[in-house]
Amino acid sequence: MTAKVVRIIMILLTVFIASIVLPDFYKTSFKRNVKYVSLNYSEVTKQFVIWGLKDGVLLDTLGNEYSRQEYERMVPFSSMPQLLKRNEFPDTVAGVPVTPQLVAENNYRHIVNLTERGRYYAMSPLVHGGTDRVGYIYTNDMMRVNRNGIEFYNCEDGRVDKEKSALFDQELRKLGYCPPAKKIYGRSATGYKRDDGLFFIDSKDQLFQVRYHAYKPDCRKIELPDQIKLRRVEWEPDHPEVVAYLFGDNNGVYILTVDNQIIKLDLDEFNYDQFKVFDVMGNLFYHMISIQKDGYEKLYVFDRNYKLLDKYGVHSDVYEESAAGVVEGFLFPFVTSTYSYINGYYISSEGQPFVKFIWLNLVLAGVLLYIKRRKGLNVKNPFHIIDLFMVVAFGVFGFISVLIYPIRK
Amino acid sequence: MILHLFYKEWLKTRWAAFFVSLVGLAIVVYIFLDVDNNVRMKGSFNYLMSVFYGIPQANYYNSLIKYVPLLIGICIGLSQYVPEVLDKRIKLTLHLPLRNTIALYTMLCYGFLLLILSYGVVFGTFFYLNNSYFPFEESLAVLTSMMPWLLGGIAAYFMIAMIAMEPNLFYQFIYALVAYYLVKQFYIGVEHADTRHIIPALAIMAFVPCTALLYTSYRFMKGER
Repeated sequence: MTAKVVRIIMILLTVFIASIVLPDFYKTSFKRNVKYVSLNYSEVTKQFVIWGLKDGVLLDTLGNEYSRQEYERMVPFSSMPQLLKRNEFPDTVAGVPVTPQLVAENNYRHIVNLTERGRYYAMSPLVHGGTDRVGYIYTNDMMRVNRNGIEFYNCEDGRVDKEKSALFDQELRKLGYCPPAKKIYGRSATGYKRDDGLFFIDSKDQLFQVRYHAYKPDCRKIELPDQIKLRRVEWEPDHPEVVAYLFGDNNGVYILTVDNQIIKLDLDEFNYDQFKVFDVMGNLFYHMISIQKDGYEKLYVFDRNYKLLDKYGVHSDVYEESAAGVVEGFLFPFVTSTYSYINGYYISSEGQPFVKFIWLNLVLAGVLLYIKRRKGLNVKNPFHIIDLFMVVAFGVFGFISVLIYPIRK
Repeated sequence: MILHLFYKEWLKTRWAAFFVSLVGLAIVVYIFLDVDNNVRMKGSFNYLMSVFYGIPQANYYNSLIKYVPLLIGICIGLSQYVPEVLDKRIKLTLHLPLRNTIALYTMLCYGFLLLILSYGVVFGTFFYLNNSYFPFEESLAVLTSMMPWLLGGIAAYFMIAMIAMEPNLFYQFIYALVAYYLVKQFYIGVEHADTRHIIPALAIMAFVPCTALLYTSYRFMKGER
C-alpha cells in the first residue's frame, strides 16, 4: 500500500518535470519567429505609424503605406542620425525651427521591465554632493534601512558608521519614518548630472527620498496621492524634469517631477500585473508611453505637460496562435516554464483551454486501459482507476509517468 | 541495531565524504583567495559595487561552488548504494531483525545526515569567510543564490538511492533520465539573488524523491526483475 502511494507521488513529480521538458523540446523543434508589430507616432503627420503589419512597408492608422525612407522623414526626431546622414534633416518640424542639438537634448527613453524578479540587495550606495569636489563622490559606505533604522555600512572596516547613521535617523524620525524598509529603490551613482538619492518604502508604506548633500542629510517624505500604496518606484536618471515613475496598487502610474509635483498619467488600459514592459520616451514635442504585453502594444501620446493627446493599440502575432502554438494546445494540458534571463529565476505553469487538450487525454486514457487489460490487470483496482484519471487530467505527461512507474505486484 | 547500521554505512562512505568535502573546502579557499586579492586591489567598496552592479558572470565569486553540492550528493549516494546493489549485499541488510522500511530509511537518514554534515563543513566555511568580507545583505543574497544548488545535491542523493534499489536495468535508465531532468531544474539560474521566489517550490521538488526509495525497494524485496 505504501509503495503504491509513493508511486502516485512520484508520478505527480514526473508529470511536473515532463511539463517542463516536453514542451521545451517541442518548442525547440517547432517554434518559429512570429511577426512582431510595433508603434511610433509621427510628429509630422500626427498619425500613428505601425511596423510589421505588412512586409517591406509601414502603415499608418489611415491605411497609407510608406517606405522606410518616407517613414524616417515622418519621424525626424527618432530618425535624426539617418536623416543627417542623407542630408535630409529638416530645418522646421510642424512649423517649429529645430536643430540637431535641440532635438538631441530633448530626446529620452527609459524602458521599465515590469516583472520584478531580478536581483535585489537590501543596500545601496548613496553619493555625496556639494562637497569641495566637483559633482558627486562615493563615500565608501552603503545605505540600508533595517530594524535598527537607517544605517551606513562602511565597506572598508565592516562596521556601521554610527555618527552618520544617527544624523540621517534623526532627520527621518522627524518625518515619521517607520523602519525597516520594505524595499530600497533608485541608484545613487557618480557620473550623472543630477542625483536624486535613494527612495525607500517603510513598513507603513510611506515613501521617503534620501540624499546626502554638503555633509548634511537631505530627506523628505513624499505624500502619495489617492491613498495609494506603491508597488514600485522607478527612478529616472536622464530626464531633466522627471525624478521617478511611481506605480501604485490601483494600477495608476504617477510621475514625480523635479519640482515635487505628482502627476497621474491617463493610461486607461494599464495593469501592472498583466503588462510586461513600460517604455517611456519623449522628444521636443511629446512624451510617449508604450505599454506592452505578449501580442499587444498600446502607445499613449502626451503633450509636454502630460495631457493625453492620442492613443492607439495594436495586436501582433503570438506563438499561441501560430500553427505550432495551436498544436501545442492540443498536445499538452499545461506548460511549465522555469527560467527567463530577463525576468530572473521563476517557475510558472500555464494551462491550455480544456476543450483542446481533453481529446488527446481521453485517447491516451483509452490506450492505457487497453494496455492494462491486455496485461490481464484488474482495471477495477482503485490504483488502476487513479492511473486512468491521471492520464485524463495530465494527458501525455500523465501517460508517460504512469508507464514509467508500473504498479508492482 | 540502528547505530550498527549507521556504523556499517560510515565504513562505506567515510572516504568519499572526506575527499569530496576536501575538494569543496579547496574550492572555498580558492574563491576567498580571489576575493581577498580583489578586495586588496580594488578596495572593499569598489569590489562590492562590481558584485552588485557588474556583469553577472564576471563578478559572482560564488559561481565556482555551483556544482559542489551536486558532487557531494552524488559521491555520498554512489559510495553508499553502489556497493550494496553490485553484489546484492543489500539483501543481508533486509534480512536483519528490523522492519525493512526502518532499515532502508536508517540508511537514507544516515546518507542525508552525512550530506548535511558535508554541506555544513564546506558551506559553513564559505559563509564564515563571506561574512568577514561582506555585509549581511550580501551573504543573504549569496545564500538565496545557493539554495537551489544545495537542494539540487539533496535531490540527486535521493534519486541515486531510488535508482540503486531498482532491480531492472531498463527502469534504472528511465529513472536516471527523470533524475537528470529533475536535478537540472536546480542549476539553471545565473543571476545573483534572483532565486528567492522559487526556493519553496524547489524544496518540495528536492524532498519528494526521499519517499521514492520505498517504491523501488519494494520491488527489490519481492525479487522482481
